[in-house]
Amino acid sequence: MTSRRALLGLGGLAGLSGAAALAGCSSDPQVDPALGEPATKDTRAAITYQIWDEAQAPAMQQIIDAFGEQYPGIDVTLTVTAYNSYFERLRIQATGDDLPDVFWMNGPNFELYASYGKLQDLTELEGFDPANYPENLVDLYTYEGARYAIPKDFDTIGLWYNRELLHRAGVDEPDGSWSWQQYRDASEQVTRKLAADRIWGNPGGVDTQAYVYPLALQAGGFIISKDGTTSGYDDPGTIEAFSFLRGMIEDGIAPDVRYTTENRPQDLFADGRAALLPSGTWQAAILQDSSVKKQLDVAPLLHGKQEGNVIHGIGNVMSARSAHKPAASAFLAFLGSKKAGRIQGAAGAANPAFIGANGAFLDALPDFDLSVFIDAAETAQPYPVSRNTSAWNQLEELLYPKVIGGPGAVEENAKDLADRMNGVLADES
Amino acid sequence: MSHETAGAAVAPPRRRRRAEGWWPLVFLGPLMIGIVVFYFWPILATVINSFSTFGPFGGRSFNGLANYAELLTDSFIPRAILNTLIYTLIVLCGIPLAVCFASLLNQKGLRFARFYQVLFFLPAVSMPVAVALVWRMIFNKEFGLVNWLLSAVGIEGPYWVTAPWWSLLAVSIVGLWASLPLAIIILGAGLRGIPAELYEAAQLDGAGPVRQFFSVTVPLLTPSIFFLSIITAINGFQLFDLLFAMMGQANPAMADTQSLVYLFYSEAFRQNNQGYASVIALLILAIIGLFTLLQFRLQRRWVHYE
Repeated sequence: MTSRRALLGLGGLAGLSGAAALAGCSSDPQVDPALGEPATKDTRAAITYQIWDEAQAPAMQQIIDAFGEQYPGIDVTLTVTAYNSYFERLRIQATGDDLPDVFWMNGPNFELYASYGKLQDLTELEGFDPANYPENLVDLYTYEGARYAIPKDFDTIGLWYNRELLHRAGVDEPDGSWSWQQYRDASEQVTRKLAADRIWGNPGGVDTQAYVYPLALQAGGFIISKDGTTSGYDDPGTIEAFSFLRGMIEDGIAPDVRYTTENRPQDLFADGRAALLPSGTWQAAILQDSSVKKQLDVAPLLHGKQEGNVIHGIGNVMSARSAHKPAASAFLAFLGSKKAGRIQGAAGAANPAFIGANGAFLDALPDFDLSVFIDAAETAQPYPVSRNTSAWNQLEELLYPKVIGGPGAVEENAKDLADRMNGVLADES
Repeated sequence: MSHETAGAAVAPPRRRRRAEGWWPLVFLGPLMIGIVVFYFWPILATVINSFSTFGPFGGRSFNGLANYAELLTDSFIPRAILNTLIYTLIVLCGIPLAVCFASLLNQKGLRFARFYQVLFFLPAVSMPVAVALVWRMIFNKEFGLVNWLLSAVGIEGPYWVTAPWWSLLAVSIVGLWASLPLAIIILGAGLRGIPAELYEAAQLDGAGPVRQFFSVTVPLLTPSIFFLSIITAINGFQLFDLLFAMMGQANPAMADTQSLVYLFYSEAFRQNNQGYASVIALLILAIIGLFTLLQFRLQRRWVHYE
């Protein structure tokens, strides 16, 4: 039998393959920072536009078609990459100097690309007036005084509720003035009264943007310091927000974190198994397909010691190395126009960032009072970010469940998260 | 068996010895280039990277032993090593099971043998992530099959996927299940290599089926079992996709269920920390190397080559 040698050889190879890992390298020669002359009607060029949301692709194609009527010589190719791999792909493209001419950017990743000179400074772009968009959204995409993105859309957070379930439990509908205590009491009443039907007052969860961020701000806490160097997770205000959520779980008002991992809060709400859901604008398009859609509506978010809401939106950006900057400039200016805002609003996929173009969005989803989200934009704070946001976002994903659901004291777990996040932030500089 | 190879070694072809100098290179060259480029170079690069820190878009600077120092202070590492070891040991328990299944499947006169073989091989041809998601449902606290069966005998099942330790056990059970098909195929081949005379002789000596299994089948299967234990252990130390897909996002048990490769993934791809990730990769390599070496040492005691 030849088995011994053959088998050993195979085993060795398998061992080797286990060790194979990645290597990468690149250099960064100078980029011409000038935006140059914008395109004219006669400009002929082909540019690429990369996005991550398949659901918005038809609306984006409509915008491209409308742009084509104005600039018949410019050919725009739309590419859609799934969100889960979008930023991995983008990093590879940036490393290989192969970024699309125009593409979507989000808050957590913005600073990384801006600080490494991957994005074109759009401050001087003709047709880009920052006054047309919510100020805190423009701020999100401002790096060292220069503006790098034209806001495309925005989300803020509101309190979604199920009229029918609240009514059955004898709770008044939220009127936009609710305090934390009122939210807790309402949740408790629903959970206790409708326990037999296994319906929750609120479906709990560990969401960052929709749940913890706004509550932390309302309690006077913060997520990351203004200068982006310190974690706010050991701040008493932030810990108060965590304790509030932990308290509802411990008292059986909201479901356990282990439970919500298997039964996502937004699913519980959409299935009519939870009465209150603090969540964002994006729920509108999802709840549109809910079987209990007729019972749902949205009210302004809770109120704490101070006002707290978080605004985030996608930005349209240009690669600093685009070979067709005039054409890309014209396209970007069009993307930022009221007309483009109306097109995407009418498609109901996203709430346009252009102030005054929201009407189309409100009309597209008439079942819900979405003006709540537009009003919230005025006072909302920008989404918390730093240069390497994704590094501490991952820590949040890993440790939030422990902070909110235990085991271990809230303060200790929050301190652990803060320490790790500070370590990651220290690596950034 | 062994005298065949011995016979071949006795009569070497003598005439074209000179030509042998370069012809083999022509045939082996392409393969060797592939191995060097895709296996040796990445390992070497990993070693170099482990002394470096990277910009998110490339660009390297050496930082000495800083990454190794980080390894010593990273509080996730000990738990990840423990988790990976436990997982590997549980999955290794699948080998005795596979021996039983394989010998049952290879029984003479078994009806529908082909059907059973297909059935047992199905896990190997299913998509791992899809399989993981189905298992996640099976292990669901409220609606899962496992807890339903447990409730039938009056036991309230745990949160299999979202409580620490239970989650590791759940992932290990699926890992064990997924390792069976390959093991059964390899052991089946090993079983068919056992000469029938041995069983006849054993029968004449008065050995029953159980005695035959332990005194003939198992000893003669030991080379295959050894090979399997090496492969299974190496696969076990590389636990990632199953864990990733079964645990899902925002899982409270994740922080206590991370494997070494999971840590590697999060450092390299989520935290943009390739230098430190390389150190973790080398740690995995070292552990696999040590474990494999240990197995080779121990095999002298229990593996029979005959």
